Amino acid sequence: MLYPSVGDEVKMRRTDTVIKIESRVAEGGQGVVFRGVDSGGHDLAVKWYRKNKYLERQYNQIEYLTSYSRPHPSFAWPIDIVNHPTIVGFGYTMEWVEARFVSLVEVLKKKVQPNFRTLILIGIELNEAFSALHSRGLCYRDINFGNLLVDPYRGDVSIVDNDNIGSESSRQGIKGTLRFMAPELIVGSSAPSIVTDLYSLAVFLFYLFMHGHPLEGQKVNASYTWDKGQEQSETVKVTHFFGRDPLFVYDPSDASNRPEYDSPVLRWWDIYPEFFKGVFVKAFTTGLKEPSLMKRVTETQWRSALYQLNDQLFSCSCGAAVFKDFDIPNKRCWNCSGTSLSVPIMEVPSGTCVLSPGFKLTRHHLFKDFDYKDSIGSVEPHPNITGELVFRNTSNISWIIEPVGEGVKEVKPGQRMQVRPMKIHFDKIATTILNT
Amino acid sequence: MNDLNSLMPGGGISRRSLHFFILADCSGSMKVDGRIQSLNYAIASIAPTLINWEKEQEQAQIFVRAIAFADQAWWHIESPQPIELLNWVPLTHVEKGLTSMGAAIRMVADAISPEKFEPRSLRPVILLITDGKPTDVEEFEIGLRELFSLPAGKAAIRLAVAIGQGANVSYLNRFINDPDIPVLIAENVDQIAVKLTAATLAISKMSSIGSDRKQVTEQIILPAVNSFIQADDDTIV
Repeated sequence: MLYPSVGDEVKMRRTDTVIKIESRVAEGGQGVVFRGVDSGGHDLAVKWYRKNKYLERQYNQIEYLTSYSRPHPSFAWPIDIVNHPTIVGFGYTMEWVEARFVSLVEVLKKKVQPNFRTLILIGIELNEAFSALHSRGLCYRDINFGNLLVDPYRGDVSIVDNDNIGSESSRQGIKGTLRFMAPELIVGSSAPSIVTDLYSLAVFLFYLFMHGHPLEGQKVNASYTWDKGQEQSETVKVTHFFGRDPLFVYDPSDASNRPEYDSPVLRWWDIYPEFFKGVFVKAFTTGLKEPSLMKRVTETQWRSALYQLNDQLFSCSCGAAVFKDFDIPNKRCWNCSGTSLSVPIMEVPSGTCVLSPGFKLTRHHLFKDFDYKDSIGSVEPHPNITGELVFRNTSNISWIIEPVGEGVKEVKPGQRMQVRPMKIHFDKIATTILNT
Repeated sequence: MNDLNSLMPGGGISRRSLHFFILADCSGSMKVDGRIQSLNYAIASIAPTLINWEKEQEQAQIFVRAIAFADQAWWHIESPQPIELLNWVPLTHVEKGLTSMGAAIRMVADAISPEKFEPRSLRPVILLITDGKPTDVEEFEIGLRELFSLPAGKAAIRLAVAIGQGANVSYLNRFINDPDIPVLIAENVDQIAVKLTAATLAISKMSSIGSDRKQVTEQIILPAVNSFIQADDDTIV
């Protein structure tokens, strides 16, 4: 037998924990994945390697990874190596990935898309996970749609297939999945590293927000032909367009590879504010040709861009989700083509935010301390007046507000106030709400 | 953060078509042991694998066409069917039917000629399933010449499944025309679905741009070809 069968028991090497194989769930290039349960009834995933010449290397790799704790809750990290009483070879266990996690591609193809807040949450979560991995000096090596799964409702992320993770210095394992691979990996001038992970992450984020590949535009499409004498092998094309001479579809100085007329990227790109598009421009211009931590976009940069993007989201009067673009005052709505009506904005030390339902004021807005988790206030629709908003104090200190034309008031913890032009004092920090 | 219930733009990503041609033997011998039923079953059972694969990747949208062959070759599915809509009408054997494999290959060659084949599509996949050898040897030779004279034919992923001992592997190897990729042999009807699944998995891996066909073969096709030999690996010699 090559693989355990349903009903078999495998044993964790370190703890002798017995796992019963319940079902076979997937077969991939490296082996077969099963669902198993331990004696406590907990689901676990068991990956059993196919016999191959790299088996010893794979064993060492899993042994190495199980000696680390998982860097971030999003990783379905290897727990332990498992053996079978009679089958040669080995497998390993990892946390069972719930069915709510699916491939991002599956989500992107659906007619009804997750809302922008969820897309942004997915982006933030991914960046936090990779930041945690990279700050340990480890690189993932194989970012692609099969490995980074998302919950399109909650915005959670699950990163699977962690068996290729290693330190930058260990020059082993795979190079990656081609369309996510950094140009320097494709031309073979470099090995997988944190820097190449950053490129793959940017490709993934481009898909998440723009629905396409950052390098696949008219120039690449023109090379796809089955005419006699014109054709080049896929390998030649790939090496050229993704490796040797890559060109971003929105390169500011070369428009020859813009998205094809029927590409969804055309529509999505226009929706986002200029500052956010600028991050992708950096990732795929300097970040494309000069592989270094300085030239590529790091997780910290992505994270603050994503939080800022979240701060600029609101609803057009037609009902469409739109972003306030402070660089283009009269930007038209992607749905109704109207220019937006006035929206309340809030000027805080970290920048300018649009007040819309779901907006959360965090410590970072006031103190610029990168604490995005602690909520100080949150915006909700007005319970009685359609179109109006209220701002709830979710902190534990009172706010002192000075609404225009009214006297000074206090908003106690838990209380709500109607959003209107005013000054708000958060202890010593003064902010302003304006109507634009 | 999910309280803004506003309208979102519709989904979708741009993909390239992947044309998948099934060339299925319906000669008289396909009646033996219920081979033809087993083949119909196998095709129905690989469809979900292909649908899943399509769902999970961003590059390809799969379209299926099928050619059946016996005394002659004919389109079983002529207009490309998106895999998720595939409605496989079971094939039946032709009583005392011959094996016009050459004619089938010529038909597929015609369909992927530059005039007819979609320019932006990925390299096509041609899967040949037979339990015999071509009875139209001259046509077979012409068919191969035509196929390999075409850019899409040369680039195509060509796989073959041989059913039973009667299948002549040397013809199939000439069709595959790649020493690294062996013919998948289904020793008996039970194995048809197994081999077709291995072929499907190999196809999905090979279709990814930049994939290494040799590596895919080592990982997927060779274990499937050698599964009997490998099963005895525990034996102490």
